[in-house]
Amino acid sequence: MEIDELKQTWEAYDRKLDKSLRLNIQLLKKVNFGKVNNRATTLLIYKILELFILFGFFNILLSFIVENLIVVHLLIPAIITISFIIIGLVSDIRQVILIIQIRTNNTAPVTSLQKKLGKLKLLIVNYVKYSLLSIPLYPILLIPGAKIIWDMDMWSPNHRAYLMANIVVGLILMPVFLWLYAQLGKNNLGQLWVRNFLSGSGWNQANSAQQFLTEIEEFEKEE
Amino acid sequence: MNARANQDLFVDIIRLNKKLIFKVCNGYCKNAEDRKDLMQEIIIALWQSFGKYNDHYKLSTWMYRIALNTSISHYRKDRRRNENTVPFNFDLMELEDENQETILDERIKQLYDFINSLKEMNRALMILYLDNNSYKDIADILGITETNVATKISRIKIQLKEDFEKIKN
Repeated sequence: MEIDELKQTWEAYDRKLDKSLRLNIQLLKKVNFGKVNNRATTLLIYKILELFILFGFFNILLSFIVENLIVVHLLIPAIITISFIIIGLVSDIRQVILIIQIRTNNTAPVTSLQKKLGKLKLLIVNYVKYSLLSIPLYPILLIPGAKIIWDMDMWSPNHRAYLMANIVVGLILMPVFLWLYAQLGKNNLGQLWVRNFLSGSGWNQANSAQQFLTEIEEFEKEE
Repeated sequence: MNARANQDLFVDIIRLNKKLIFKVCNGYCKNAEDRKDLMQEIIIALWQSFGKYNDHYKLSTWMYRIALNTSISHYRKDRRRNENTVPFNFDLMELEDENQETILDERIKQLYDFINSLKEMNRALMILYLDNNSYKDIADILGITETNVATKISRIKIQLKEDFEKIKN
């Protein structure tokens, strides 16, 4: 079949649709369009809320850092914790910008909108992935957290054993999470057990979004 | 314009362009249930941006962009049901023939099999090309250059020839 034959078939199909395709107007008129939710709006509200919460944590930690500039054993854990929050804030801001762009211009050309959607998906998945990877570092958060909430110095002799126990747990978890992170490399994706193990982690979605972005970029290339 | 008149105008636009929506849906969904869902999603997406429609664009460009963007996203999404779709008991669009398959004769099936074998973006390009859109319009809808449209179409033509040669042999 040549392209001209395809076109002829398509035109015949078009004529057939003219005769036989019926729009259920009564049903369409009954749809309460006003009540339709917009997924992008829901996601935007959720992300803005997340942004406010992170910004709140950022402010509290920043004040804590300023107050403890010379208390090194409190300052270092607070700086590490605030670094994670800054990464989260930057990712959240990028997500919010993309969601606003998608919401305000959903009539954008196909390549442009699909690229934005792919980037957003990738950002969301990576955000979750990096949040999971920060789990073994939780004892660091304990130090400024306990000081801010209960005015408790985790380094004091009364609490040091508890802190050390948590650090040991964190250290035990660390290689497990580092190993998991290393497995997320593309080279291992061919292995069935890695794919099965990671199927719920969002990596597959991220990988698929990345592949699609590459496809769009290829599609946009002048040849 | 009041809300009622606005909705009536929207319904008229959908009625006049029902073929466009139907053909795009068929290009991205083989399964009838899926197609029904996609049709609802497209009509809802069109309604959501109807208020923002800018007559600087051709109406068909606006419709194609939304229909194709919604279809590609729907196609890429996992199988879970879309929470935003309104549960209808009937199809929004129906073929009057009792057996829908009768209209999709062998050649049309072959044509859709070919369209379905293409990647998402090329599929959009092919639907637009077959629907007699100019290269300029296709470029505008997809967001690529006219030269690129021409190159890709000629490449698809070659692929098409090769595929049918294979079937023949």
